Amino acid sequence: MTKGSISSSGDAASLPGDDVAPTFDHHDPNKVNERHAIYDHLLSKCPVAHSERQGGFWVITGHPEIERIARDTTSFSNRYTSVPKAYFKDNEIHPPINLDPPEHTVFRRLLLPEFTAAKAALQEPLLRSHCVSVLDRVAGQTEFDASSAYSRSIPVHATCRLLGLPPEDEETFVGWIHTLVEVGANEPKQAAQAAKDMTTYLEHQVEAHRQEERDDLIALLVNAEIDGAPISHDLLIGCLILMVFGGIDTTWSALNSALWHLGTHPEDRDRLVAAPELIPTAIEELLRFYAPAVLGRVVTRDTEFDGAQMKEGDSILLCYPAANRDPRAFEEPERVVIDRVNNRHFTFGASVHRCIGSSLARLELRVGIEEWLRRYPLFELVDANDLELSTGPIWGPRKLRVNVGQHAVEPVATA
Amino acid sequence: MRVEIGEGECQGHGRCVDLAPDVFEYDELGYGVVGLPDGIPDHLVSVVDVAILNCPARAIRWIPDSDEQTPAASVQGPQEQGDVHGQV
Repeated sequence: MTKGSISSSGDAASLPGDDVAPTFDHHDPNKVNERHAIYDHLLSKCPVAHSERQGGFWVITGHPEIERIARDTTSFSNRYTSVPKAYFKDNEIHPPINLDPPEHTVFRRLLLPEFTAAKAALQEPLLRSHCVSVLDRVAGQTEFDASSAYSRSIPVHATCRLLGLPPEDEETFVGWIHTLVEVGANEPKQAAQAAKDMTTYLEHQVEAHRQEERDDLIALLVNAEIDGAPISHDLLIGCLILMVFGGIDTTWSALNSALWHLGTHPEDRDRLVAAPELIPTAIEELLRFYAPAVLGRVVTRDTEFDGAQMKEGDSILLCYPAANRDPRAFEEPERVVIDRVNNRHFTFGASVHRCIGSSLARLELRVGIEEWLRRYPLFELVDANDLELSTGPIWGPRKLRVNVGQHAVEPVATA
Repeated sequence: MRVEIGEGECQGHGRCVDLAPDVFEYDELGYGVVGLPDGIPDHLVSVVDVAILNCPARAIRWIPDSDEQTPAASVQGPQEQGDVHGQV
C-alpha cells in the first residue's frame, strides 16, 4: 500500500487481466484495498461482467448499464439485494427495499413523510450538540481513532432518534453492528448471536411502542395499515433491521471516507475550513468517489442484456461505486474535485429504490464534518498507509488514527 | 422558458432543491416540484441547467416555448453525453 492508495486511479497493469471479472468478490478481504482499481479495470474491459465467486453473479460497473438495470424493475427484482442472496437470514424480507412495485410503492409511500429533508432538518440541532459532546469526550487527546471515538456515533445517534430507541442503548447498538459487520464474516456464530439479540431487542421496542403513544418511526409502523391490515410482525421487524443496517454502517463508512480524504489531502481540508459553505458540494463529490454500497438484484426472467445471457434467478451486483468512476459519465472520474459541479452519482441508487435516508445521511455528513473541522481544522491522519477497510457490501475505512495535537480549537465554555 | 419534472420520474434525491432552491421545492413525500411553473427568469437558467445535469433520475427538462429559442446550454440528448463534464 502506498499513501493515498484508496484514492488512486486504477492500475490495471498490476491486476491479472482475465481473472479480474471471474474472481471479483466484494467479500474477499484480500482484495478490498484494490477495489477501485478493479472497478476501473472492469469499466474499461467489461461493464457487464460475470464472477464465479459467491455461487456466481453478474458484476455491473457501467453508469448507463446500472441505470438501465435499476430502472427495469420488471426484469430485475429487489427480492434479494445481497450477493449471495441469503445474507442475514434465509427468506427474510426487509421492506421496502426487498419489495418490487406495486407493493414497494405502497410501503415506501408510508415511510416517505418521515424521511423528507424537512424532517431531517428537525434533527440538526440535536445532532450538532451530539457531535460537540462526543468531541468533548476526547478533548485534550492528541492522537485517537476518530472512527470509534467520533464518526461511528453520529449515524447511531441519528438512527436511534429516528426510530425512537432510547439514547442509552446506543452503545449496545454499536456492539451489534461491530459484531455483525466487522467480526461477522470470520465469526459466524458471534454474528448469528448478535443478529438474534438485535431482533429480540427490536421486538421488545415494538412491544413498548404498542403500550404507549409515541411519535417516531416505530410508532408509525406499529400503527400503520396496508390494505386495511396492520403490518405483519415479520415485515415490521424486517423493516426495522433494514433501517438499522441501511442507516448506520453506510453513513459511518461515508463519513470515515470523507475524514480520511480530508486528513490525507490538506489542500482540500484547508479549502473547506476557509469556505465551509463549500461543504455540501464537497460531500457530493466525496460521496461519489468513496461511495460505500453495492446492492444486488435478481433476474426475474431469462434476459439478454448487452450480450450477456442472464437466466431467471441469477444474482446481479450493481456496483454503484464503479458507476461513479465511469468516464462516460464523469470528467476525470479518478480525481476528487471537491467543487465538482456536474455530479450525477449513483451513491444513493438510480431507481425507485433511492436510499430513503439520503436526506438524513447528507445532514449527518454535513454536521459531522462541520463540527469536526471547526474543532480540528488542521487534523491529519497519523499514517495514511495504516488503512483498514471493511469487507462486504459496505466499503469504507474502519480506523482513522488522527493527530489533532497542537491544532484543536476547543469550544468556548458556555454557562 | 419553463422547466418540468417528468410525471412519475422523480426518485426524490432532492438534488434540484439543493442546487436550485429558488426554482424547485419538495412535495409532502419528498419528491421534487417546480415552484415556478409559469417560467424561469433568465438569472435562474444556469442553476436549472446544473440541477438537470445532477438529477440521478434524469427527470428534469426544459419545455421550450414554441416561439422562443432554446438556450444553448439546455440542448441535450437523453444521455447528455459530453455535457456532464463541467467543473468550477
